[in-house]
Amino acid sequence: MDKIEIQIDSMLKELIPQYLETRKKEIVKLKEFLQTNEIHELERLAHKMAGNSGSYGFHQMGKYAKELELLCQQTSQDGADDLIAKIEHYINHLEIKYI
Amino acid sequence: MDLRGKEIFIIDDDEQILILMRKILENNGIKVETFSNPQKAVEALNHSSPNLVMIDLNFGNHNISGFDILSVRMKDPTLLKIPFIVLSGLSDHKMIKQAIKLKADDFIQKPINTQIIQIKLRKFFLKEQTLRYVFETEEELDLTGVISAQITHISENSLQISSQVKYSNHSSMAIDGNRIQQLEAKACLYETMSDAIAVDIGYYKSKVKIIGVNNVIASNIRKL
Repeated sequence: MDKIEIQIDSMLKELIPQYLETRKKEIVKLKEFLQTNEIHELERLAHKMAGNSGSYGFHQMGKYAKELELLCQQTSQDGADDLIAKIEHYINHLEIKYI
Repeated sequence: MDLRGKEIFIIDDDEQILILMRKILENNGIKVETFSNPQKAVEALNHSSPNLVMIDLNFGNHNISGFDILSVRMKDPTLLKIPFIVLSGLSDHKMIKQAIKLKADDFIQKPINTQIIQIKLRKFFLKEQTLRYVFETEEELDLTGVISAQITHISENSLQISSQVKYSNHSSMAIDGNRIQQLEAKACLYETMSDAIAVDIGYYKSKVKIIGVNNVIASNIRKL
C-alpha cells in the first residue's frame, strides 16, 4: 500500500480525527461543485482548505487545494477533477505519526 | 517565560484555525477568546483588555479586513496599548509592510507551526515585560545602568522581578516598560525589600516595594 507518512505534533492529536472527517465531507462538496459548475463555490472551498490544512500539518493537501483554487480563477477548470482525486487519495492514505 | 494566565484574543474567519490556535494556547495555560466575526471582536475590545490580540488580515466574506481593524486601533490610544500580532497567510511583503505601518507589533505567517507559535509568544511576552532599571543614590551617583528583567508577580504594593542582577536590600530604581506604562505606574518609586535570592544560575529574584501607588494604579493592577 502506498501510505503517505507524515509527522504531527502530539498536542494536536485529539483534533486530527475531526479535522480529517470534516475535510472528507468537503471533498464530497468539491466534487459536487465541479459537477454543477459552481466554480465560485469550488474556489471558496478550495481556498479554505488551502488556508488551514498546512497549519494542521497536511502541507501536501494544502498545495493541491491551492492549485485547485488557482485553477478556479482560470477560464478552464481542466484538471480540477484530478486535483480533487489527489486530495482524496492523500487523505485516504495518510499514516500519521504523532511526535 | 511563563505564558500561564495571559489572555489572548484571536480573530480569524477560519473556524479550523481558531480551533487549532485555541488548542495550542490553552495547552500553555493561556486564556483564549476566539472571534470568527471581526465585528464582534471589535465590540469585545471596547470593554476588554487582553494581553495580546492575534489577527488575520483577510476575512473573506466580511465587510471588514484586519487592516481596517489595525487602522481603527491606530487612532485609539487605549486600543494601541494592546499589542497586536498579525497571523496571516499573506506572504506579500507590501501587505506585511502595510500591517507594520499600521503599528502591528509582530507578524506570524501561516501555515501555523505549533512550535514556532509557542516560541514567538514566549519571546514576545519576554520582550514586552523587559524593563529598564536606572538606579542611583541620593548622595552621589553610584551607578547608572539599564537592565532587562521580567516582572513575575505584582500586587498593589509590591512586585517581584527576575533578572541577572543580584540586588541588595533597599536598592532604589526606576522601572519602565509596556506593562508599567499600561498600569500608569511609571512615576512610582521602586525599592527592593530584601536581598535578591538566586533562582537559577546567574538569575536572581527580588521583591520590590512600589511607592506612590494611587487609586488609579491600584485599580489597574487589580484588573490584571
